[in-house]
Amino acid sequence: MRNRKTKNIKKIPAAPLFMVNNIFTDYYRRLRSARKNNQRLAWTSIGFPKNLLYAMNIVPVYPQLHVGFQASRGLTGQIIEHVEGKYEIPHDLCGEIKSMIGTIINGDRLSFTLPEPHLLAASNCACSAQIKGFNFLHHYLKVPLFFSDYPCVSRDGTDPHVLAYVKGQLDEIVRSIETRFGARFDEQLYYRLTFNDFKAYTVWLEIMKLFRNKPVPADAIDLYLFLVPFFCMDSGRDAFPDLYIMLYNALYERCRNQGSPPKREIRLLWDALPVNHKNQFFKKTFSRYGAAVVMSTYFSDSPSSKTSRLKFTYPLTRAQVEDAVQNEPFEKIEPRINHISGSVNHRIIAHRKGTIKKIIETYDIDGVIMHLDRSCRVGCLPQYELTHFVETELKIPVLVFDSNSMDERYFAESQVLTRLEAFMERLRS
Amino acid sequence: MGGENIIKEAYEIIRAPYDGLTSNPHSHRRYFGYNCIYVPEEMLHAAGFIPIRLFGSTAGINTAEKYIPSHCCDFIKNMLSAFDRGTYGFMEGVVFGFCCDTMQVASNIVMERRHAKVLHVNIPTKLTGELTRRYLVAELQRFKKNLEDRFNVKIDEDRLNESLDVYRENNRLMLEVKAHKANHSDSISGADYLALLSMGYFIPRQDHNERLKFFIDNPETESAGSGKTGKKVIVAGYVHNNFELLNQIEALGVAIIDDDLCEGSRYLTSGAEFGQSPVHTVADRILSRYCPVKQASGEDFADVLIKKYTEASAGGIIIFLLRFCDPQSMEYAATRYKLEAENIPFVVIEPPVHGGLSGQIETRLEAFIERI
Repeated sequence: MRNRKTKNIKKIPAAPLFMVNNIFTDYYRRLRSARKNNQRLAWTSIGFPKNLLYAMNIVPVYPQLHVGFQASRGLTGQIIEHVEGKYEIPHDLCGEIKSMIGTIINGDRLSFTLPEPHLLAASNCACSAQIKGFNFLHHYLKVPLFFSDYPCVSRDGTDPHVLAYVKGQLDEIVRSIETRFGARFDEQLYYRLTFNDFKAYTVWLEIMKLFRNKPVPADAIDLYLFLVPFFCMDSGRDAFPDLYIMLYNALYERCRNQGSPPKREIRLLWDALPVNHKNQFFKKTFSRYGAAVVMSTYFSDSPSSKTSRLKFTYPLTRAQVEDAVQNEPFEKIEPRINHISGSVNHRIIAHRKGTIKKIIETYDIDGVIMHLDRSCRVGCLPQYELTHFVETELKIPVLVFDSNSMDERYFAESQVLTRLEAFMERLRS
Repeated sequence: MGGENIIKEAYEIIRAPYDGLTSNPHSHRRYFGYNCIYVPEEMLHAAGFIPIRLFGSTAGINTAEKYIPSHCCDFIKNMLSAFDRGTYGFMEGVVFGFCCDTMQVASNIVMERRHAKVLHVNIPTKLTGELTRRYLVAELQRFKKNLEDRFNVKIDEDRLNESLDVYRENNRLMLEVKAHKANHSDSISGADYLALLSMGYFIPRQDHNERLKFFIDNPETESAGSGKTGKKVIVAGYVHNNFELLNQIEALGVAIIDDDLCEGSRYLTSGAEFGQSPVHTVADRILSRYCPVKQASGEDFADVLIKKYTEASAGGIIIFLLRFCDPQSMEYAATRYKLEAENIPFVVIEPPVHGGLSGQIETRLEAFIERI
């Protein structure tokens, strides 16, 4: 089987891929020139609402995303090794946080540098390890840390006291930054950026729907890249939401022109983060069996994953999107509120079971791949429970494999390949 | 019975804390489990339950990996294994404070597998500020209502005030024993003191208070001999409730003068209470405790250790770092940075789940003691 010729991998169309790359290049260029332009920089954890900072003319830098890019180039293993040795940080802790620390303490010896921050802004929206990572940076860099605490959402819906707590903290942080750094919070800009984000989210939901198509228009593993701008980009710029409109149109076009579905397409759901440094390996292996990842639990749980009521006509235009979102009440899309329920990891297991069930039914999933990511403990500890649920109640096969999204030292290719091949054979039979 | 017998009883209880309860003639009493120092134990007490802390069980084969991957801390694994084997079957319910992400997942597994009736109380990660306090009071009120509705109990203000008095008394007595230990380190060893404190997690608080009072009146024990080198250390972290381990450390000739252990002094409150209502007081008591999993402005793990080290004029710090504990390990990275800057000697060891000190750990500790 391993010698069989690989079928074409379903890549994301070139134009949106080119555009997203340009956006990142532009973003890094802006980061480098920010200090020259007297702009302040905040190093920020995943889940901290970026627009609060942009609305104070502070440029948010997300070192975790930066090291994610490094990991996809297979560069983080050496950085992590150095940090583990220097600070006695155990090998079994989050690789993202260790790479983040390593990127700083190594300077440009092992990785390229990020501009130094004036302040740190972090939340435990994604997990509590990142708070501790930022706490380390706070001691190391000696810059102020602003921390917002997001309680776990243990029931359906969020209690008013939880909302008041989170919103109150973020308001307090804005006031503190204003006082300490002489910044001014531009409320109008904040509203405009938030609406721009919402426009992009709205299109994102429509993009997700395209992956229900048979055959699937592209391998959804590549979509992780398109999630990144939601976390960090200045949505006041023209590329937002145009990037997603372009992606939608390109994928729609492909769905329309693909012709009749193949005899058998194996449709996979991917749980947790991808193995950043091995995306190509997975896509190739899947394509050999006529399989593709059609959805990830990460995409489905992105902050505004409510059912879209919008109806678009092809080709999608900015005017259509603006028309569709203009009457949306601001409170519903306010990130200070939406982020609370946004994180997969901050929800109870029952919620994750519900999400997986919904995806399996909606996307006609044949098998579930659970990436037991040693770099994301909170995301992966429930996976045995989820596996039990999917196999016994939904009767869908599951493959659980051990790896590390950030650390290329912990990937045994031949072992993973053997297990993937066996799983694919099982799904095909 | 002298103070020595109280210590002996304490070791017996913490060696098999849950066995005793199932065979107890008073087992008609209503037991309720809780997982962490941040759970409002006073509310369980006011509801008529005997709060029992969940430390898991290290006896027998650990079956937790049926439910949770291997890269999970032993604290959680021991706890899940105990649930799986029915060790906590005598409890009417259990309450989990979300002290960390792993605990949050574990509580969900217990709930999904219906191992027990589960309640949650969502303790904030941030321990300071008026917003935190306001949130915690609202969360405690939600928890109180949940407890009353699901277990058909009533917690009125008077009952809660009475329970608070019991717990305040307990805190006062423990601090008194601690002060006695500081002044007469030859009369009670560090390990014995911790066993005395830890015993309270498994017996009714009133009974614990009685024993503490008796001990204060009759403090003579035979544990003298620890610290024969005159060297003093602080211990910090988590030791799986294994105080034999601490005894072995003291047998190396060093005295445990103070601690920042999860099973130990982290439980004690500073006594800062700002009133308004009994629920506010419960919140104040919770927020006055510090664990490195949490974030407190102006204070972190290193600060707590440095303060204890200085106050006790200790020679060094032994940190028991639990494997696979994200927050404590990350906090340790920053702590190490500060301790080195302050020239404070410290050593980090992984606490063994079973038994005492292995040869390797013993050698490291001997070298460390030599150094300080």
